[in-house]
Amino acid sequence: MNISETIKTSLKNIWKSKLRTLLTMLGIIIGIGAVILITSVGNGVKHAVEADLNKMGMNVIQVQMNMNLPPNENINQTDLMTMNDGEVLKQVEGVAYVSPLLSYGQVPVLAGTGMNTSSVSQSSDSDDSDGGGSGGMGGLYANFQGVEQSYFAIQSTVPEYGRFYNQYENKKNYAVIDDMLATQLFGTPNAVGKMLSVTLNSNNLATFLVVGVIPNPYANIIKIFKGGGQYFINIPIGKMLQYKWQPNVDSYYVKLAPNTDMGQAGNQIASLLAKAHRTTSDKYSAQPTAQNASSFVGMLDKITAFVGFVAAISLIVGGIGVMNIMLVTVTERTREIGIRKAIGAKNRDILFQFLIEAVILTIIGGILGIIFGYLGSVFVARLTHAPPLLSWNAIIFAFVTSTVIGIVFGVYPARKASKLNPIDALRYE
Amino acid sequence: MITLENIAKIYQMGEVRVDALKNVNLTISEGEYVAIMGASGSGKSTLMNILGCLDSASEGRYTLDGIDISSLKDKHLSNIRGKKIGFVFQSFNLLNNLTLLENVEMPMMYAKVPKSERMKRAKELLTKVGLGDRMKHTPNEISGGQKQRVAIARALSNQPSIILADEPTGNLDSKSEKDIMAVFEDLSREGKTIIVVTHEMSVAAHSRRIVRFSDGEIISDIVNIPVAEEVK
Repeated sequence: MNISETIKTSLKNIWKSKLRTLLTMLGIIIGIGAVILITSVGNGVKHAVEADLNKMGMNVIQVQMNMNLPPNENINQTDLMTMNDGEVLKQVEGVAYVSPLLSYGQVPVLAGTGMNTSSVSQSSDSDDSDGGGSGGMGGLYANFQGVEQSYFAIQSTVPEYGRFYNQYENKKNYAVIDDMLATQLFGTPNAVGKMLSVTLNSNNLATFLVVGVIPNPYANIIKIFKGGGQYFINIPIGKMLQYKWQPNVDSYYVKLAPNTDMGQAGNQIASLLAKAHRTTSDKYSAQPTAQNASSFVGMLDKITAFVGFVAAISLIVGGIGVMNIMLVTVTERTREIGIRKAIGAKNRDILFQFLIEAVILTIIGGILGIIFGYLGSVFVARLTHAPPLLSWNAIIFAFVTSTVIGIVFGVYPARKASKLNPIDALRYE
Repeated sequence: MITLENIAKIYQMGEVRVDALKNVNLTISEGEYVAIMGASGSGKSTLMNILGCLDSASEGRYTLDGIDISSLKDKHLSNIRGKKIGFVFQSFNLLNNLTLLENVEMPMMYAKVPKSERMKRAKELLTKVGLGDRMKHTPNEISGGQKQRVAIARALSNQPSIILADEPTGNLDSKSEKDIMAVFEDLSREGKTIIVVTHEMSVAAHSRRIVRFSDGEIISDIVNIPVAEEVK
């Protein structure tokens, strides 16, 4: 008997007992479904997070003081980076943009000038009312940082509304904020011309005019992780140096031309800084920002793989279910096996018939698992706010696994069937 | 041509040894119509299973058309079962979830006969046994006599030279019995070797040779004048 006839016979037998078939496949459906669901949701989240993290831009190097120095070395006051280092970094080969960054950390932020705080409406009509800055008294917090205009170019961002401040406005109380903060503060992303106030450590209020609104770089992450993201208030670096009352900046961002060797550029940056500060280059750390992204995504990958693996264990249980039913089927059909052998079926024909039946069972289970798993992931994705991503790898995994399960757990019952003695089988009642 | 030489079949059940067949010597030529008779437990069914390559003898030599069956493995045995021998069982042994046409086609599927040829032959055979209008029915929808005719059509599908029938009318009424025996007579006339195992004289009476078994041994082997010819 050839393969297509065997498959036809098997499909007929499977179709004959639909309920039992469905129950048999249930383990496989749930197992494959769970794996597909988890990997689809995981991949969807990963994709969204990756997109956010990559907004930081390719070919960007973040320059910081090295915090992992050997114990016998210290960072001295003279080692710290200042505004002068901007010029130093512009000597790096392939440099496109350089911007210092000085952060004030998370600060409470209010709409208006702060003179009339009670009347400030904190809009909650947006669907992100639960996202973003957490803080006492229901207040909003935002990342308050000083950067140069070039920082926006490094982030590959353009103003959604308004404009960026320019180099002549370095000491002005101008702010470029993200659209999610704008919505939180003013009920509309178009906050250009509005005033906002931040509370500084000394409990002084500082008031800024919003000149530009940019897309929040972590929009996806905020949606997925519910407030794990951040709001941003960018002000001119010169103004920030005044608030911090210090000459030093936290870090520099350096954007390089495409196809620049990042490792080499990093080394060059460290040695140029060391030369300028008359110190050793190991005081500076110059790492591509993409590395942060890839390490985070790598962790997400591992979590997805682990949970997927746990789900895959249920497939073994499903396989045992299939084997169990196939054994019952072989016993039930002993007489049929005897008849088939009496009219010329070889042991091999019988083996294939039952093996193919088991494999068809698990493959159909696998297909249903893919369908239900994907539908499930669409449903779950409504909670994670990241569209699920069904990868070809997951589909191929599901197919291969269900086939292998069919073979592994079908071979024993099929062998048992094929080895039946035709006379005993014929006499079986 | 079937030759059995010193065939013995021994079942060892724990301490008890059962000699189902003892020293059986039998030759059946092509085209013979033989009835094998005996009470139950006489060894006639065991002999039938050995002849049909469903079982192997414990001792002795069985040659079928010059092939030494005793030395063959499953692959060749199943080939012989499929192509040289057609079985007709007391309980019909049709597959109830298949149509009559599919039942008749099945031996040809295992013998790898092409689909179109299979369909053609199966339809011809079913028409020949008078069930040409029931081909799409399943065995549950027809009578016992009709089932046995389907079984005969199935047995003939690979054009075997030998028909082995084990109590073919055991489950049938006398009217159906007559029909079936008439079919066997036709087949005998066409030159098929027919071996019928039975304990009923009315069935054996149609054959031309009666071999009687008792306690696993042949006790008589006589020529018989078929009833059908007596009537004529």
